[in-house]
Amino acid sequence: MSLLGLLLMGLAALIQAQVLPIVLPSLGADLRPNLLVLLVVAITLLQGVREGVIWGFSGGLLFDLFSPITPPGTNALCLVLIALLASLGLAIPLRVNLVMPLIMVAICTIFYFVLLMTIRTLLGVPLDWGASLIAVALPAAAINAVLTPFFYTLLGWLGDRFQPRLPEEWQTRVQ
Amino acid sequence: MKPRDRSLSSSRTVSLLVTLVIISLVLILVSQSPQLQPVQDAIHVVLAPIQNGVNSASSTVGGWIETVRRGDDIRQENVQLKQDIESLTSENSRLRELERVNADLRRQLNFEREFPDLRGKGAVVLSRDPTGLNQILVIDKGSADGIITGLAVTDSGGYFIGKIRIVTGAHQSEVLLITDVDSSIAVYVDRTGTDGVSNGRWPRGRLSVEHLSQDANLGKGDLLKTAGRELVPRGLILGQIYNIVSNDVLLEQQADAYPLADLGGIDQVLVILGGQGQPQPTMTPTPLPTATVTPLPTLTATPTPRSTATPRGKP
Repeated sequence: MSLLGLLLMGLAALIQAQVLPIVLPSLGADLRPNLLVLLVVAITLLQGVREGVIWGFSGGLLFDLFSPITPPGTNALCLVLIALLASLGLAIPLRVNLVMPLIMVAICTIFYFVLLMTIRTLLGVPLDWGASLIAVALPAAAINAVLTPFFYTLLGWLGDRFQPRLPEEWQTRVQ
Repeated sequence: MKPRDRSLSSSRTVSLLVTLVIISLVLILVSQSPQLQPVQDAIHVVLAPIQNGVNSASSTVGGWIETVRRGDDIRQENVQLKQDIESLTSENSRLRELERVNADLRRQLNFEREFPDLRGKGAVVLSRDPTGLNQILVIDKGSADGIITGLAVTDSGGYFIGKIRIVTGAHQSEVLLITDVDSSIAVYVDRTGTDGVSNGRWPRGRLSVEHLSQDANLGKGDLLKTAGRELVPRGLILGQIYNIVSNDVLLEQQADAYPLADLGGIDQVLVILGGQGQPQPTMTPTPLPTATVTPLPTLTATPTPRSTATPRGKP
């Protein structure tokens, strides 16, 4: 699953860094999803925090390589922390329901932008915090929430197909 | 019972025939008479609704019949029309793209004519900030191409879009767009010459122009141009004012403007390597008024004539 995750995150990083910034403005749409956060949160809830951290780190690193604007390691750090935050949702027994993943994706997306803006501010890049949260983070969270059922279902199917097992936390409980 | 006589030889039949023929002839002759025109008009008024109703129903039925009869022809025509529409839509799209390229080339030609002394280097946009938090482009030119921090960057048509933020490699550098929060450009209003400072207002995608003289007669639609500070040439167009606000506390005016370049769709840029752009307006010193000195009147000593009277006592 980790190898598959590497491939998926690589593809998502490429689309997020190169395709969406060009395609969406040409369509007149300023709102864009964050596929990396979506995938990391979904895989964390489905496969556990270990997979989420691996996916987050690899995807973040690839994203930083495709997007030279951000210093390498920025998104890797952010997505690892996102996986840790998403792991809080593992304690909720309604994980199989789509509502909880949807809420977690929205919360984690906003948290991702807060982390990113904090890092950029510490690096000396001026930002309009209020306007960025309202105009960039919230719409991204909304779009990510809308896309969650599709990606959550897809990753669930892929997990059952390639690695049908319970998450680590549930394995411990069963044992 | 007497059988009915069906032959023409019957007198009653002949009589009826003649009578009807005569009536017909009379009607024909009488209808030609102008005196009976009102009667005819009244008859037409009564019959017209019935005629219209029947005519409409007939047209509908006729249409149905025509449609069924021409069903195949109509289907083929529909398919052909759809193909024609697709072809025309595609061609229309191509023509619009050509129109856009033509407009860009014209602007570029005008730009080169207006700024013949500017030297530029074309660059391709490799990527932009994918998070949408900052307005930064990454281009494929760097230190090996003579790029240094602070150089002005325009789009292919000559609109000013930003400055080189940092040179990250021999063939890579970053451009800070004018709409970024960190962007601050010295500008002037083209029509009035009023100086100001343009600050980016991302993610709103607008410009905020500050420190405009309170006495300046600004108007919506006024163009903003670069003022020629540091490495940015003077006279490059960057935006257009759409709102003006007076700030009585700071005793200045502030304006909102939008950038004229399509910052979201840029894929090629021009980095201005040298040149001054438009010359600074020369200040012709006003000559001081010459003071005219009025000469003082010259005093001439006029001897006062002595008195000729003999003094007393003297012989």
